[in-house]
Amino acid sequence: MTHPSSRGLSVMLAAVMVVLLGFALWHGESEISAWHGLCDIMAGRSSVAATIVGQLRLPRALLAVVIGGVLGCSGAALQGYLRNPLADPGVLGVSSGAALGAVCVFYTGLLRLSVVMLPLGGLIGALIAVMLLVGLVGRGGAVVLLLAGAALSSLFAALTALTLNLVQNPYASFEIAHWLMGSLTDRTFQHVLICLPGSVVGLVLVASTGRALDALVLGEDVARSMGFILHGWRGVQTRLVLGVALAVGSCTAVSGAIGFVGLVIPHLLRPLTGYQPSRLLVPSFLGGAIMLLVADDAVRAFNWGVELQIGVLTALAGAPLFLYRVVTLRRSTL
Amino acid sequence: MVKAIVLGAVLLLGPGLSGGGSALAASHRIASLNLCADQIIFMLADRSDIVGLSPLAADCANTVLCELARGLPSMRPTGEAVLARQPDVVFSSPFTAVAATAIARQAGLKTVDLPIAESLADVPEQIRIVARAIGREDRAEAIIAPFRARLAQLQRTMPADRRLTALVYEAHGFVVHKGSLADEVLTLGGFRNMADEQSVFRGANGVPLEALIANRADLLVIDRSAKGYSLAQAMLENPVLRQAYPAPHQLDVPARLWLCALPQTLDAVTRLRAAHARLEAQ
Repeated sequence: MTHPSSRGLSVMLAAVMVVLLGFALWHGESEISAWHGLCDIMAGRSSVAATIVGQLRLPRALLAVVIGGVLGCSGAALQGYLRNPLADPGVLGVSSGAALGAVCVFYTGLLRLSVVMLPLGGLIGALIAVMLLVGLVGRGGAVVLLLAGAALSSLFAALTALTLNLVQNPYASFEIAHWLMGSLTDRTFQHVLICLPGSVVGLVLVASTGRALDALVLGEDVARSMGFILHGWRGVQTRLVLGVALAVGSCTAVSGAIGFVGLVIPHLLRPLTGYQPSRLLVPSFLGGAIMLLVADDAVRAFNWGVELQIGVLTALAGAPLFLYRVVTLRRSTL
Repeated sequence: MVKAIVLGAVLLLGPGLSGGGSALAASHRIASLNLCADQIIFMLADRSDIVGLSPLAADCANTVLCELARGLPSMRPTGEAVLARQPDVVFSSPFTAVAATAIARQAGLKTVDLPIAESLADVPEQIRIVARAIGREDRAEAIIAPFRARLAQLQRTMPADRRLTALVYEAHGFVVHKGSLADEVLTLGGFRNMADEQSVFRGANGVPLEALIANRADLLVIDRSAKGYSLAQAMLENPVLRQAYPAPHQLDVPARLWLCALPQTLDAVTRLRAAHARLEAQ
């Protein structure tokens, strides 16, 4: 099924991603020699350089790959399934659920127990959102899915706003507002462990819908006549929704909301993959990973006293990219 | 109000010294993520021993000895920045840079949590915590002794007339309540804290301007040192406040004096005493 040019694209993107991954290990906030760090890790010595490279920069870079990839791939799958170019991983309301879970951890002060409580709270919020979403949609179709997602995300956004409103400590509300902007700073392997299971299971589920997505381009009736079960518990929609929700929820729980990656990356890559949804999934994963690796490098390179949040940076970079796509799209349709 | 909440949390969770133990030899690589620890380090440590201070240390709105921070290395509050300085000891705070502190602790660094001070009696304790951790106990006593003498002198000369009331009004309309450092300073300055005497001031989300004008205190203590512009701060500049509290009834006490429990906090008491004398003379 894989088109030769799309395979070439994937190989190229993967190469860029590996180079950027190496760069993320080599370049950080401090002038520590990454080479010494790597040598120390290989030799099993514990040194400051080894700790910084192995336990701070490596998990951070891995998270950038996983989270960026999940967002890109989920965006591509959702845009394909809903046949709506405006779909992004946020439409399901699961990232809002994860955000609410994390904000509750801030509010209740559970954060004092351990730093890991924050992503765990986010994960619980995301899982509750997934259950609500799947339960709400049931056997309904794409419209029901969109409505349920919109309802859930406005409900969770309202509850998050309520929590922010009720917080009495201005420092806590500052921290919450900051967290909601998304960041990968000071993430460790504990965060990778929290994020990885849901992401892997989710991505596998999404990947299993690839061929059905191709058939759906021709409409639901055609897809059904080709033997794909669309709705119901074992249908394409349930697998896709469950997969995207699990993956995006686990990622948002760890990093906070990172916008625009899932929206922009599939748009940029779609013309290069022959407009076939299944061929877009892998390049979108790699493209999302690349975008987040670059953004995280930029966050560490800028030193303006106040730390720039990665979600702000992706939105800043994503919006002009999106505008550019709109302009080129208009020109080509004229 | 805010301070009261923070205090409550500290009391409940009560983290003391997490690094523990007294260092026999002086530490020669000191890093801090805690603004209050920064200022005590200025007083105790050799400048060459400081490898990283919190970014706020050089901000004169928040730090009493900010000019000393000039030329000293400032450090981002992230795990990597802390580890890269290779410190012997890291001072942390229970509320900020929690992730960076956890990373430093996991990496095997000695971290010392400096709890938030709630009274003037905490000043010697805070200084001793830092001194023990960096092995400069001798220098600590040289700072604590004059502080104790000045405190005792201020306690002896406490005004007998306890009729005057005061209110500390902060950005967003927060007022200072009993159980906080600022409340104790207010009392020692010769005033009764009106925030605890009337129920209108007990609101959790700040006190509206109207309540301040309807229930007038003899002295309104305001901090105008904060940088930047916000709606929360704009409340303090409301012309209505200036009319209701003309010159001798308003006092400017910069937040840096009582943000942390430091020997310099007694300067705030001196300011309040002067305001007390002005009001009595009226």
